[in-house]
Amino acid sequence: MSAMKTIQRLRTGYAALVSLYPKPYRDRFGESIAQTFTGLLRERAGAKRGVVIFAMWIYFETSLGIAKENLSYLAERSGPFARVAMFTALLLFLPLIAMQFTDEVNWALGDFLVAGVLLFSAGGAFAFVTRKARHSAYRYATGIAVFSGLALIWMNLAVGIIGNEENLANVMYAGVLAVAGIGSLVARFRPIGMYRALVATAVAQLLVSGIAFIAGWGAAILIDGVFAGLWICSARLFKQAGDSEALEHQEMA
Amino acid sequence: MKRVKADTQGKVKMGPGTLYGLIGRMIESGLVQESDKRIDLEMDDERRVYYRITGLGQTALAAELQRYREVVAISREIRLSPCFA
Repeated sequence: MSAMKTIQRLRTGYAALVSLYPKPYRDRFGESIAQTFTGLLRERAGAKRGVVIFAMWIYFETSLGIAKENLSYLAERSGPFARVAMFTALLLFLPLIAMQFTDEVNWALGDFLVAGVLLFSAGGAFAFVTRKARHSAYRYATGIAVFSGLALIWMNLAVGIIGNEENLANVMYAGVLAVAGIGSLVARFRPIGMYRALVATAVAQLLVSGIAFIAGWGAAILIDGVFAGLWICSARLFKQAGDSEALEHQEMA
Repeated sequence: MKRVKADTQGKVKMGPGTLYGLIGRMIESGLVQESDKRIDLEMDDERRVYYRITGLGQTALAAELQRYREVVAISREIRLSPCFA
């Protein structure tokens, strides 16, 4: 087969590949990309160098570019909740892949469902609360609070914080989450109100340890201390965001 | 692509997928823009698209080069690399 015929065939295949780019990208660069490909192959053929393996390398390289551009395009076009859904799906791939290589990870369908619901809810809560956030402190504060809530539920479901997952004392942690959730709703997610709600959550977390210890159910003082620290850290950041907002209002007045 | 390969002694090979991805991102960031200038009207393919660096692109390039110079200066100062000893 002549070199020109080979190039023609490779070019047809490449044009089909380029058509997989997102439309706006394809409209802008599609022709230039195809021209560049043909130019490179012609140059190599002119220099009496092989074109097929080189073309395969470009096919592979372009395929990576297509995957990247499609992901960016999807992320740009989709709303925050669709992005959370994509991120959740990506995270769930990790245990799925790990299961192929080790017996240490053994998730049933129910585990994937629970993990999916928890991750999507946490991500969705973060996206919802921070949708109008103007300060990075507010976003960090929300991130820490959402992460703490997620970790609290996850640990309780997996192994239980007090004793094991069957110890009924762990039900008290639902109260901690209720304080955070109801407090946030009452505060209508305003920074100063969130500050108060999360300080109350930290107190509730420590109370759980105190009650469990006094009642002799066993306590997890260290773990509760770490969670209380996270709630306080989040509260401090909300306070910082609130102070910045107050300062802005003063300057505008 | 040929220039990148030559300048890096073949260490960096770039295909159209990477090149146009980078051009797209640089256009979005305002670092380069399409240019009407043609190098040689007689020889040139009219479909060929030229790009030129913008003012913002030049500022970003200068800042990036300055950053590299500072990294090299620090590594010299603390004798990080045996070749600077």
